[in-house]
Amino acid sequence: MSTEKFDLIVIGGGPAGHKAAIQAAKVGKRVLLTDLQQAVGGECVHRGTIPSKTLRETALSLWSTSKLAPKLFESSMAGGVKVESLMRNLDSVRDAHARFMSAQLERNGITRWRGRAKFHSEHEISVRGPELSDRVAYGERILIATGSRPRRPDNIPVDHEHILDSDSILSLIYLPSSLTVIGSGVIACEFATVFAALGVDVTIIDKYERPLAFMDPELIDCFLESFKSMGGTFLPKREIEKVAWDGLSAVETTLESGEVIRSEKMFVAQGRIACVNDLNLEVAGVEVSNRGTVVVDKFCQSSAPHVYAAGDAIGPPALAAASMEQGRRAALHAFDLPAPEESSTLPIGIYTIPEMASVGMSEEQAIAEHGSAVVGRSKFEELARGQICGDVGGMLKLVADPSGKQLLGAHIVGHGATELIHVAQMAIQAGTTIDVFVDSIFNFPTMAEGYRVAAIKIVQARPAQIRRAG
Amino acid sequence: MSPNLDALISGPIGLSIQAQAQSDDLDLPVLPNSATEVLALCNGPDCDARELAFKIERDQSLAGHVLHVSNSAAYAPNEPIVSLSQAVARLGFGTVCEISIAIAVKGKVFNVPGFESTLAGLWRHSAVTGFYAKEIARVLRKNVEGAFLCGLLHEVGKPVALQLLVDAWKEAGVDEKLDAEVATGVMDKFGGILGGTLLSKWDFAPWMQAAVEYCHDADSAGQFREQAMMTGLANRLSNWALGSSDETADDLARLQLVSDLEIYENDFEELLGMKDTILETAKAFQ
Repeated sequence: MSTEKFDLIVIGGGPAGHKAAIQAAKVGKRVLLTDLQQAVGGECVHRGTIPSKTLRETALSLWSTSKLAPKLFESSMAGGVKVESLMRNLDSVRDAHARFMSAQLERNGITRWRGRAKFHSEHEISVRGPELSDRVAYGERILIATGSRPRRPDNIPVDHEHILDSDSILSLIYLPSSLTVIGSGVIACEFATVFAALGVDVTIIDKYERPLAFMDPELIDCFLESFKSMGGTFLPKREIEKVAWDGLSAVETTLESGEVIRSEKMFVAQGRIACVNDLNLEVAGVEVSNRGTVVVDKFCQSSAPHVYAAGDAIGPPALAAASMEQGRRAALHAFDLPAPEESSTLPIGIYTIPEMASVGMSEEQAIAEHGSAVVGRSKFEELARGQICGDVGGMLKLVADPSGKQLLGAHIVGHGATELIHVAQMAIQAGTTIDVFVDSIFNFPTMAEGYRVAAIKIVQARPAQIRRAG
Repeated sequence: MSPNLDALISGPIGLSIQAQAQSDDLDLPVLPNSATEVLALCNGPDCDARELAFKIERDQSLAGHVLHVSNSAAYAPNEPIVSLSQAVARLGFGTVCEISIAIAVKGKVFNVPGFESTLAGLWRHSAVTGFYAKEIARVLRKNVEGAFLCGLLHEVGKPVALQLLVDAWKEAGVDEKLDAEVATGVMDKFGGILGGTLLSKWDFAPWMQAAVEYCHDADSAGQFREQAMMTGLANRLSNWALGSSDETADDLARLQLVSDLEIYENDFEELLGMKDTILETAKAFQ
């Protein structure tokens, strides 16, 4: 078997692998990209981000319309509506995205092999296709970007029929009338709110006291209130004793508290695990953490200097945007090209309904680091655009340093949060003062006016509202 | 295709079948009301065990068959199931619905006098295909419930084609006995299109119609190519499991279908390993 030589072999064609391959090719390197699937984009395009956001877009439109014109939607949609009818444009969205990514690879002369890759030797990767063909490639540098898969808890029998995970939840033909969601992380909360907005009776069960614990608590309060208003239930601090399909019509969840929750379907989202087990990493001397992720430094370089890893394979934050940047930085560093410093302003966007976004420091972090912080809030109900959109539960919160001059963080829940957050991201990166928001003119009516309202409150609070840590 | 079959298909009998297969007025078998009501009830938002049992009870033949299948080894009841409510409670809405559809289709469609043995074999193959389709869907994280019916019904057009042939044969007043090779050839030629038409008439979803019509030619299934490939692969696995093809497990593993569906070696071996369980479960449908 002949061995083809490449400057870089990328294992996995998701956001991290795709960007790394393009970056390396742009600087004249010979690149091989391997993936299990012929279609480009990884789980992000085919099972994750793109399909779920397509369903969310429909749910959001229906939910918004139901709030603005309630009489049009007097009955619930759940229990019979075809899921595919809510995702009519999925194929075109997915195909367009995959086509665009594929054309990029082609334009940059990147070689693609389909198959399951693993280390054959320190620098060699063997790739076995589904047609049982075997090929071997030599890579001067190798990037692991194999992504992750849903973690399957031992006590929950996921059968992809009644009890589903994030790989199979969108295979549902009909909307169920009720859904139990196990877990309260990003994927759990995103799907929980999408289904609740579509009229499904959703119950989130988790062992923690609050969902999305890494987000600002005030945002989570708004989120929970909105979820409740959609008919959702959050059961915190609950341990699961047993989950079983009752053989008739419901999944029965028995909690250690003695409560029994019955629902037509269950969605299990208790984290994801990196897909690195089958890569034969020991051959290359790549260290794996006890959480099953590849151990890397800030340039995504592993314990084997010629091997890099990026995206979900290295663990949190496991966001598509962060993965792309990691892939790009890894490729630059691998070929001794200057890589930009790691950004300190990674925006977090959570596509729940309502959506949430965050950048920079939380109030607690600011107090811990600066001794105190000045906070300004703008409730969307105070904004004309908020009233027009019917989004009166949203909020924008700015966190400034103790002097009330420097912007340190922003946290938003409500309509357009994931877009609005980039204003704060740019402001923090540029070292913009709070006064710039006060002195700037924002379009009227917009949600962005919230920045000005919150900034004014910080200015007004400067002399009086300086909080001391502890 | 034998010269006899070629001549028949291009002759008056073949043209008559072809015309009927493409005609809007084709008199296709109708599912019994009880079966369509059961299907509607199971897919509806307010499915109630008592109501489901009541609907089945109204059709004595269906009720008897559901109880018979419920008590078979495949569903392994710890104690005999003696009532329909008990059957629904034990097996679930979905399974009772599948059993009801299977029984209705078998009785109504897989029933051409003179060809009992051919159709019994075809039916067994269909049931095994249904269960394999379900497992393929599970591996690929596709809808499991719909996949089963696609597999079960993927040959539903063949007995219809056979019935048309028998009728045309009689009408043409041919003395010669209809031989098995000609019957098989006509079923193969017209089974797909008639299957799709039948499912359309029975109001099955468009993707199910396409999966049945194009399971042997997935490239023609358009946006439903994947569903057609899944049914097509289930069909090949069923033939292998029942020993009705010369394909070995190794041949199957190298099929273009497997590669196109991106089923990798370990998952495919898992599917092959289910053979005995699936054959046992499918027995219940005979």
